[in-house]
Amino acid sequence: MSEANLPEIDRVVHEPARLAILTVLASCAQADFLFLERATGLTRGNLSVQLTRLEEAGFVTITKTIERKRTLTMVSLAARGRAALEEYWESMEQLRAMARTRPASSKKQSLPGKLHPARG
Amino acid sequence: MARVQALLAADQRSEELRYLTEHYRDLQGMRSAPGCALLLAFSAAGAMLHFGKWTAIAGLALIGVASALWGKWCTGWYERRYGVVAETDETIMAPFKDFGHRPLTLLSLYSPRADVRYGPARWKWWALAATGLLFLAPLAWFYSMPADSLPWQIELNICLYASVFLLLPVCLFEMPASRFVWLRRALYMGAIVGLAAENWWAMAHLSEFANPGDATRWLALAWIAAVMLCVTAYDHWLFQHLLTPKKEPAS
Repeated sequence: MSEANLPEIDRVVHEPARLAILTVLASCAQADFLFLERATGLTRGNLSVQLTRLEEAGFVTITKTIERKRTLTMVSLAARGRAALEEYWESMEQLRAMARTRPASSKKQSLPGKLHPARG
Repeated sequence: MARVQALLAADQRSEELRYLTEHYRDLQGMRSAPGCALLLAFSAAGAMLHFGKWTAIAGLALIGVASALWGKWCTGWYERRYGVVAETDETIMAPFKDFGHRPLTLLSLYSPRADVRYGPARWKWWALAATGLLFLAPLAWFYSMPADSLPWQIELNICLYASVFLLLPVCLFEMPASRFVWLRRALYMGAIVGLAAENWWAMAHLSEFANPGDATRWLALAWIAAVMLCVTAYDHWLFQHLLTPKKEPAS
């Protein structure tokens, strides 16, 4: 199996912490910082860094409001993020299908996929 | 092989996260568990003490008010402790898309999943309030009627229908490959079967026009409260279980 046949995988989405964030956001209209922190198990600092990275890539939208004298940070998935996530899962499905169909002799080798840097 | 295992584990965690986010509201079992516990205690006491009509109405009304106040406070507690999630219209309607939106839209509206304060589901508050009244007001009315004016089947069937109305949506949603989520569905389906069985049992044991103080009538209500308490307690446990990641994802 040549590397050229492997589907491309978006590095921004493929990173586990960011994938967890995008998965959560894909299932709701928006979620706040605290929920993302609890659901993904990331530390506040790490979550903040990952959200900034996703915002820079245009995958999420972050809005901050003041509610009961507290800052409420709400995050929602942008159309571009949703498209990237769907594409990512399609690529993973293709990889999985390839892994199932390749001959047994080559199963000891890993199937890394073809990673490409962040788009955008 | 290790990569495949890691990939599958990540895939399963993603599915669990998706389920948790989509069911963020209805997994908050502590919002209704104390109300169910109160109802269970009150109906068990009713079976033993044979409450009069007005004692029954006052007790049930008090439990209703206490449950509503607790639910409001508890919603804030969940938000302070676990955060805020605004659900989409698509999420709320998801289990019914295969059936076409009518007539089950009404059922989906009453699902506690809709957080009406955020996002596009805001308008649903009025629909939720109206459907709530539609189902709860007749129940209160039946309890206020003289015992010999209405057949007991109507009252019991309303209790059954209201309970199934709350339980059924959970049985229709897509599920991740998690045994604890499967167990939730099994529990809900078991609860529906249990309530139906209770309905048949009560029909067999109640006289045609049962006295409001009749023990069987109170036991039937206690059974409904016990079933609802079980599912809400499990919901809260599952909520916490799904919100506890095994470890921080590598970054």
